[in-house]
Amino acid sequence: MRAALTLEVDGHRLVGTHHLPAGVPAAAPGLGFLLLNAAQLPRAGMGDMPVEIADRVAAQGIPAFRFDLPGLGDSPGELPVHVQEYWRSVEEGTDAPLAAQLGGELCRRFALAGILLGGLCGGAITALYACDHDAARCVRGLILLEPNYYLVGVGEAAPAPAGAGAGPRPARPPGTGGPRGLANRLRWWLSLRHPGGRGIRLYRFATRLKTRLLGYRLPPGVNERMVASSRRLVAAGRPALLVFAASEEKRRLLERGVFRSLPPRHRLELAEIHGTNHMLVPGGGKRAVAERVERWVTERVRDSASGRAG
Amino acid sequence: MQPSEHRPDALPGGVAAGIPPLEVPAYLPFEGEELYVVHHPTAGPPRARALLAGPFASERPHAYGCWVRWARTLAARGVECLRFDYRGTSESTGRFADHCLTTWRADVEHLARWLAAREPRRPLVLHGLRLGGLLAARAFFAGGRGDALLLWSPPESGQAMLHDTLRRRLATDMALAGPGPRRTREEYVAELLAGGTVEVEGFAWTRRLWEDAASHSLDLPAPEGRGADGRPWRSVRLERSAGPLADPYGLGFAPRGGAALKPMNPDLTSLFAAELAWILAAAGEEGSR
Repeated sequence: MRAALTLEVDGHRLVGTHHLPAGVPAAAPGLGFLLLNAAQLPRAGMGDMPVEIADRVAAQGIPAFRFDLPGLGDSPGELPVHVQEYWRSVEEGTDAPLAAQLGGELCRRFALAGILLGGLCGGAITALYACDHDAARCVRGLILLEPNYYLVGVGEAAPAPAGAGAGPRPARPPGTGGPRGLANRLRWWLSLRHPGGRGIRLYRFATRLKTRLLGYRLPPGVNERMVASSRRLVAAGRPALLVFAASEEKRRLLERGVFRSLPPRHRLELAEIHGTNHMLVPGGGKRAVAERVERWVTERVRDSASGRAG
Repeated sequence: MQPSEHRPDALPGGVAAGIPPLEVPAYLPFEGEELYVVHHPTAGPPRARALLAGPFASERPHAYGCWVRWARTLAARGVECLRFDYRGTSESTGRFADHCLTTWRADVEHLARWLAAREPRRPLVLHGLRLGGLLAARAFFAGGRGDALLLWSPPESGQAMLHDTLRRRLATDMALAGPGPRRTREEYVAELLAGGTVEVEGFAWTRRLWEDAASHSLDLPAPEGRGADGRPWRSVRLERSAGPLADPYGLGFAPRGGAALKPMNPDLTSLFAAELAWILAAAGEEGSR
């Protein structure tokens, strides 16, 4: 069962969906689950994947919420004209303080001990940065679905929003210029020139060889602030589930770059989903991700009930 | 239950204290499921009312922002609106695989009745975008619902729309391709007709959806302007300047570095002005019908 929910948080009118937990509510205040928008999409996301995740979590007796941030979906607010400008604001963590406050407001209204906060793509970035603004330690765990660790370049034609400019930014758009752009073009050319996976295998071999000879370094265009936030989060022992579409490059970035030296008692889980893409929807990704998140959230709620919360 | 949660009994006035009655999201029960609706009331007495039937589930996420802006524009100009999600999709309850164009058309007719009953003296415009246009046209011409009809880029038929959308699956297959032959569109259609399900953009298509779509074609009376019973109607092919409303998949998801700037929030002032003028004229012509 679902209910539409409207909250006023820090002067913003936020519209969301409350997936009411099945069964009898626990006597003790437990944890809730909150999903933010997948980038610029409305809160139902692509292929209704966030809806399926929240339905599954609620079926486990855990209150689940999905909310639209200002300007997205049903929540009023201003938006830039171009999607690249919106992405710049995501990378700068513009909505992160509000996301943290929203989590706190849900805890207060529904008498929850804390929130497990997550999102896909841009939503994962906002969720990650929200921890930096979570003074009340309301966020008890993070679900990061395909967080985009690369900065999205904004072409010269895109005007920078007022007050923008803080944080690292590549001189050229990542993906098209510099060594990364060259590598991307080489990979694309190989995939066309040698179909059936032979070209990609050749590219991977060359990459592995390079890494073995030179060691792994974070590629150009990586969002360094995000990397730092991720490392801080893991070092603090906060539980986190990071789900990504299977890719050798991503696995290398995460294992050898972003989380290259994990503290001994870290609570990070990396989950690789095969046969899907960045949206985590096609190729059976939707169901696989929903099952993985449901299991992780249920375990965290049980940990919390038994006093092992993060 | 929290005071700001909107259940069916809270519509239309059940908003939390301190929150202006800008628009009200709510759930309306229908045939065992709950339809998610957003009601856009007007500040004063409405000049007209409009039921907004949106696009197909896989197009919704891309067109949603502009669609919501349109509803707010209408409400601000005195046209009371209701928009919604079809059963089995997005915020409405139900399994996608249990529904098809016939059940979604029933959603349109049910909400048209609901909106008409609120203030019978005000004209009701049925307005649909793409799939919503196809369904609204059926409800208008065959079902006799509404006092005027406005269509934005309706497909020729339900199956033509699905056939077109199936290209998304082929493109995804190509991007995710491993070794071995890829399946063709004809093979996917054969699988549907054999009773299997095919996942397209995260939605499980069924044989029922495919076959039912074939029975939904866009049958518009000629010439455009007025139906046999005198009710006004209009069909508009949206231009590229309408951004995600005209090209719902054009925006993509995460932008790539160096890609051309893509408008997620384009200037739709002239489109909205022209369409609003038509709605008000159609409503004015209808008077107190």
